[in-house]
Amino acid sequence: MSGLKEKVADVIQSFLLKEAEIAVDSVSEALCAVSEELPELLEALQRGEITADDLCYVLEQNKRLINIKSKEAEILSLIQLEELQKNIKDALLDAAL
Amino acid sequence: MITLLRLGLFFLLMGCVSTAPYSSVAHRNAVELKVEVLSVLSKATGSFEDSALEVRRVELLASKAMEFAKSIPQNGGTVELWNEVMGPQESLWSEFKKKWSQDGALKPLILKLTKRNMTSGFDAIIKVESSKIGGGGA
Repeated sequence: MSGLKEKVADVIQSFLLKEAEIAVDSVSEALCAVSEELPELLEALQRGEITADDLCYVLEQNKRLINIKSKEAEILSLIQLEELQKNIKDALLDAAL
Repeated sequence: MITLLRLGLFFLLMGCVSTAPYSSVAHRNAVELKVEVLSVLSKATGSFEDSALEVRRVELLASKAMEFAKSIPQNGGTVELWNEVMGPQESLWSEFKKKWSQDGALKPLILKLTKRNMTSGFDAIIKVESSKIGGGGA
C-alpha cells in the first residue's frame, strides 16, 4: 500500500512541477517581452516616429497576445491533467496486478 | 472485491477531463498558415490594395483551418485560440488588417511588433497542437 502511495505521489509531484513550468513559460515570457519594448515605443512616440494611434494599436495587440498565452497555458494544463490521470490509472493497475 | 469496486469508481471519476487528440492535419494547417501570414505581413510596409489578393487568400486558408479545428470533438480551447489569432473580429489578424487598410502602410517599428505578436500567436497554436496526446510534445 505504501508503495502505491509513493508511486501516485511521484506522479502528482511531477505533474505539479510541469504545471508550474507551463504557467511561467507561456505567460511571463510574453509579459516580459511586452514590458521590455515599452521604452522603445515611448521614445519613438516622443521622436514623432509613431503616433498615439500606433501606440494604442500595439497596446491592444499586446493585450490580445497575453490572452492567447493565458489560453495556451490553460489548454496545456488540461493536457497535462489528462496525462496525470493516465499515469495514475497505470500506477493503480500496476498495483492491482 | 471492494478494492476492485473502489478502483472502478476511481476510474469513473478520473474520466472527467478530456481533450482532443493530436491531429497531424491541424498541426500542418497551423504551421503552413503561419508561414503564409508572415509572408503577407512582410508586405505591410507597402500599400494594402497591392496585397489585397494575398490577404484574401490567407483569410480563405484561415477559414479552412478554423473549420477543420471546429470539426474536432473536445477542441473548444484550440478553436478559441484560433479565433484570438485569426478570427474575423477582434483578433490579432483582423486588427492588423484594419490598421493596414486605414493607414495605407505600417511603420517599421509597428510592423516589427505585429510580426512578433503574430509569430507568438501561431506558436501558441502549434505548441498546443503538438502537445496533445499522441503528438509527441512541443
